[in-house]
Amino acid sequence: MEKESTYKEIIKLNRDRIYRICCGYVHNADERNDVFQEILINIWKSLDNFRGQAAVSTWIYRITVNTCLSYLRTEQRRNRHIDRDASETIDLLTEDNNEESEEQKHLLDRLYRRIITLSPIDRAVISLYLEDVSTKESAEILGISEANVRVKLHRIRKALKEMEDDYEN
Amino acid sequence: MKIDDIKKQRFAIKAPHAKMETTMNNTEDSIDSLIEKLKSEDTKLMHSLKRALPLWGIAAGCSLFVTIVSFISIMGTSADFYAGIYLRVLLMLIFIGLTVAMYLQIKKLGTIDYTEPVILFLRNAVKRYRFISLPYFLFSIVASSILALAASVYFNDVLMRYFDVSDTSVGIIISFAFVALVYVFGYYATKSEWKKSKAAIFEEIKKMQKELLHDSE
Repeated sequence: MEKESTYKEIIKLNRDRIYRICCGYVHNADERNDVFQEILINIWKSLDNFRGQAAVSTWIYRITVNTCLSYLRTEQRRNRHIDRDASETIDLLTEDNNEESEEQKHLLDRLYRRIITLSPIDRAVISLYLEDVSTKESAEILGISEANVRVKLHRIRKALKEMEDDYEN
Repeated sequence: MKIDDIKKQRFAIKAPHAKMETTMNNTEDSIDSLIEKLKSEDTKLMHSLKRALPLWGIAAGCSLFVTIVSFISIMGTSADFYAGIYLRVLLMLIFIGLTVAMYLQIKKLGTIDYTEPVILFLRNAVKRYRFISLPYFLFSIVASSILALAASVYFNDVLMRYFDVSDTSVGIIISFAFVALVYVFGYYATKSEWKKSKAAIFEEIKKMQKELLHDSE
């Protein structure tokens, strides 16, 4: 029972942020939901081994990023085309459906189209940044130095800005 | 569009309810149902492990039996038994040690730990997907040598009976040459299969690993 209530609490608090990271990896809504499901399953399976060595958020993000990377590998194994042109519109679920929300969806769609063209590791770095994860925690999640995270972030943000400049011109 | 401007708007993205209960209306019911599903999966896994246990026992018993019988047959028939006993015992000990090492390695790599930092996760993925690990390579060499030694008993018997050759080293050389040929064939066949099914994924993981360490200064 304790495992169940802990699990429920973790999922309730983190489901949206898990899903948002999946958006940076999987374009297709159905496949994204499958990956999301797989992450929920992996969290359940890993819960018995959670000893609190890392913060819950760090633990959740590790499972999320590692499952997303595994998904990309599975795609490779199936010899399926990993969509990097991002020509398909991303089907995102938002709270409201008013005009403002439509504009917001359009913006987010543009952002994810760009993120999905990045390499798998860069996607993880920028997704964590967008989740407001600190550089220190990102470094713990990825297992690299904080300096490395900062350099990567700088490079990725520059690349995304260049893409935006190209779009505007 | 500036990344930081859009950062907050991104929080409007909401996760869908678990796929298996699209009929459920609220998150609480949805999670409950997911937990039930996960628990039944756990039970299934436990049942399958319990079912596999006797099979593991039988397989381990058979392997032990074959190992002991082959060892005894070498001891009984080989004329230069005492001269080669240290080598054989050493080979057998290495064989047992490597079997245990391999078992532990397979057991460790068999369960994927998603909670590891990404760098470790990728490192273990590289180990899972690489062509051949050092313990496995050594294990196959030692196992093949033991097999060649065991087969030399048969070759020496044939040489003595039909060709009147009493020098046991001839049988050992033929036996080792034969096993080496089979080994080389097996090696290339396995490598070709690995290239077809795993090499691309292996390269992809290596690329991710390299990329993760890139930019570090």
